[in-house]
Amino acid sequence: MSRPEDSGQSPVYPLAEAIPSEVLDAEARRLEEVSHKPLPMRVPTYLKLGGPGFMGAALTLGAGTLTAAMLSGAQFGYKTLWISWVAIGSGLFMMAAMARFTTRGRFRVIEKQSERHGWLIARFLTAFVGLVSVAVIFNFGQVALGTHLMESLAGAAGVSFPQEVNWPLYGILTAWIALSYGRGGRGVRAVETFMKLALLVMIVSFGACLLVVGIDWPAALRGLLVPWLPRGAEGVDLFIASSAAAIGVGDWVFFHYAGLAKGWGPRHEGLARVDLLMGLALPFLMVYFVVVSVFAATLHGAGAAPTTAVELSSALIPLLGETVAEFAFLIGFLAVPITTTVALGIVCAVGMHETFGWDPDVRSWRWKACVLMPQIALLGAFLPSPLTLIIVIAAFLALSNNIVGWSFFLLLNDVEVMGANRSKSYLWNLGILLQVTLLNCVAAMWIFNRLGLWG
Amino acid sequence: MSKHARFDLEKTIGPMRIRAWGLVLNLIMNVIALYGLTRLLSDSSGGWPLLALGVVGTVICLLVLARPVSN
Repeated sequence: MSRPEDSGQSPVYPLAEAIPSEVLDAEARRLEEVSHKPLPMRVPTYLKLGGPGFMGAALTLGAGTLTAAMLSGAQFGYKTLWISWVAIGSGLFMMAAMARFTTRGRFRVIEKQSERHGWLIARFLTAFVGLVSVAVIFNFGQVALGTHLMESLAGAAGVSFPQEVNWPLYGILTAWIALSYGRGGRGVRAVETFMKLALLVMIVSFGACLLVVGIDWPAALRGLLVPWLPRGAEGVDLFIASSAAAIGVGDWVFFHYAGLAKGWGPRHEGLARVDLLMGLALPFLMVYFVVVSVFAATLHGAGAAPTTAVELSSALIPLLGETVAEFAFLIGFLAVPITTTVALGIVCAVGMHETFGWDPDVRSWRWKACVLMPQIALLGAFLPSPLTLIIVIAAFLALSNNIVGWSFFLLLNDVEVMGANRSKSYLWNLGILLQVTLLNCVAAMWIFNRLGLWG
Repeated sequence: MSKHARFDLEKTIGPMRIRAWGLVLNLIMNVIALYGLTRLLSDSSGGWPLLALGVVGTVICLLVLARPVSN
């Protein structure tokens, strides 16, 4: 497979090896051609060639984030909408660092971390805790929600399809899509297209519900633009947890490896940054806004709100009135756990291979077994979630996310690693440091909580 | 900025660069600020000085550590 000298795009990650060099070169040429056009003219090309950002949005918009959005709308109405753009905005600086590692660093970031900062931070905290454990444990919530929604959707159509029966369908569907990611360049693109369509389904479906229930635009705009928090410890808790939770280690590293899997090189950095804005930030903000607004317009002020995603969605459905809106909500909501489960399968495979330093051969049984590992959460369809494990992993994450963030900040500013491609921007560094400081506060608050000093 | 230029964040002291030590110091300042806040919120004494120290320390750490490596 010959690669022209000037392409600078020879793959550094085996997942990209199946993408012919001609395709990568054609992409680079196309990016070069549109780079002189005004931004609106460039957007369609960026949307077509982007992908890792959309994969990141699908990962981030899981059962946890949606539950937080629904709770926020039900408890505080529109007032906390502003936190969403603070959360995603502060996270983008670190994501831009990951784009730099992918396109100009052209190394596997966990390997480089291991060389510079040791295996404990790289292999254990980043790969094993930040990717593998998260993928396996947090998939329990996705499966429980996904199978419940399949049951509800079938029920709305007058068919009985309970969780105890429908879980194999959920498992087969998500496993098949996740395994497709390993089927060469075409597989990568197919999964990315699926994620883009699923995000569109979420936005259109929840948007349709919002049209039915209506929106208080002045209150929503005020909520977006005027910061408000509940008084006391609850407000501090809400701000730090919400703003730090939107984008974490899993999102950082997944975006980096998804970019490597596309064979991104130096000429793709602009694309990677636009992908972060159009693929990750925009869908996240739109879905979050619509979901908070739907619950603000219906359950806010209607007495004690439920606290789980399943209870919240069950409480909302009768309030939607229209059958079409009920279907729209269920279909849009079902896209949430399905896309997250698919992404978690790929995250798990990447994480396992980086934990043990294996080369990811997507045709191997090892890769496939790693993709399927999170499917153990199918037990969540009829067994309670493993609460103790979830608490242990959440604790590890709270205490280690910031350390991983330090490591990436140091790598970006490491002359020996990045050379001329290191960060030369004061503002970029400051943005990353602000997110790292939020993550430090999450760790400190976790300890204060355990010591009984907080709340 | 000229004051900052007097010391090199990339110089190694012990096992780490000064920039890494700065991140540790920032964490300590964050903890002090939050501890001050917990004392304030629980109406205990001594909350304000700790909160002020932690916030000022955090701001200084961020402003210094954000400086990119010079050529």
